Amino acid sequence: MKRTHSRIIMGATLGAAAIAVVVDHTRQRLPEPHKQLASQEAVIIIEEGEEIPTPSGECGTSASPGRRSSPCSL
Amino acid sequence: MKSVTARPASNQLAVLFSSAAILAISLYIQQAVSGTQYLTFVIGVGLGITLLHAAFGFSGGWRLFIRERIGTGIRAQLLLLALTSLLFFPLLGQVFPSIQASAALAPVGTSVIVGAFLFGIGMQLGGGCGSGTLYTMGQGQVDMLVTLTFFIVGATLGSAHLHWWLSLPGYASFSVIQHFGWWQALLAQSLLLAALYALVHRLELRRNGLVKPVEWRVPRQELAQRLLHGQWPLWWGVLGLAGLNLATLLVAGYPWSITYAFGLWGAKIWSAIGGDPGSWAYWNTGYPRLSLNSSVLFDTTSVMDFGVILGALLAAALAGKYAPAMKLDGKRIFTAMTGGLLLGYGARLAFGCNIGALVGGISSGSLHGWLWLVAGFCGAIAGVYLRIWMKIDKPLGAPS
Repeated sequence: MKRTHSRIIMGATLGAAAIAVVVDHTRQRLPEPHKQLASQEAVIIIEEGEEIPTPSGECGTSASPGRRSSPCSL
Repeated sequence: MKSVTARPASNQLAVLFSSAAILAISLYIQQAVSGTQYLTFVIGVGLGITLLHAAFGFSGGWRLFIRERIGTGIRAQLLLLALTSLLFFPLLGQVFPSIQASAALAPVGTSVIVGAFLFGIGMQLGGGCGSGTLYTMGQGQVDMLVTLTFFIVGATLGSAHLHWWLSLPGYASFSVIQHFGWWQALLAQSLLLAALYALVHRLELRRNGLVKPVEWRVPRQELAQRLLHGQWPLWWGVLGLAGLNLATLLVAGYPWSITYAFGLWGAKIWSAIGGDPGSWAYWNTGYPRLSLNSSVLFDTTSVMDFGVILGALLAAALAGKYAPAMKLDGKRIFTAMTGGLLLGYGARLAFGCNIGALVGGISSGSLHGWLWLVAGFCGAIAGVYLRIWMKIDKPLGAPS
């Protein structure tokens, strides 16, 4: 493949990717500030005698949107 | 020693385009998203420049060692692990309580073993790892575009199946920092890395009779030129990657990772063409659900990946290496497709690639990183033999 062909393909790809990002950003805005806060910290209330949950031991539950608490975000 | 080398001719149009794109995206992210996200994008650009100028890869280094016992690349990777651990362990051990940082912890189980093994094969077939695919794509290598496309497909498929894999036998995540204390764990890990370094050194010496050092020096008169246009000695790559990974930990709150974004992009594309990834268990939990339903610019990993690609593009343009001419036949397309699928599927199952799981995991004291290293290297050995079987490479021991 000639260098010119490589450049055309890469340019088209980068252009398409940029359009996709713009479309996605327009359709799905940034989360509300309170959700962003929730993504930083998650408070878990544990009843007496209950085992301490290990959110990092599995993919996580819908209760915690915290990036840091889920190995699935690696 | 070589004399002063001629300055490479930069690809001026590509330099202009990448600089403008980096500037525009930086300003937009700073204004529309957050200052933190802007910083992670800039760190990503720095990582892309470092990876390309130092040509710091994992798959090529592993293949060279498996085939010819040339261990320069692997020894550089071990130095990177040691240096990053030295920077991460005190922070994660709460030596500075005001700094809130999290380790790349993940379960130690079947999914990691299978995923890392598949990833190891994929590295050899696809021609790149997580970081390698990104920066060589940024360099304009068209075959890596195929690998990246199927990397995204594989990661999306992996996210659909991950919950089944997690039902197979395994243990919860294990942090050596939490269990043994940060300095005890750091001491033990440093000794283990030193032992591995010595082993690689010894095997290299026994086979080849000499050991090529991990370079760090450049002639004084070439310093500015090499800094801007490359090629960097491997030691510069080690220092750059460790420093920028530390910056990621401090700014984002967790170590550098790459492949989460690929699954996210795939799920978003699937959703855009009418699919419903939100009904899959993976995308219905915690952070994945939040990121799927938010702008891609909200996801730190995606933003850093964009930075890596543009940083590599800028560096390649400065070095005059952008969009090289290449041979792209049916076999190369096939290996790029299968390699990409294995890379993506494996990375999702193994909780990350060579960056998120291997470097991030080991450097932040997660046992799954070590398991990833063993299984991934076994996969790479299988991948090297597959390349010979497919007549991509000559048999072991054949004259090159």
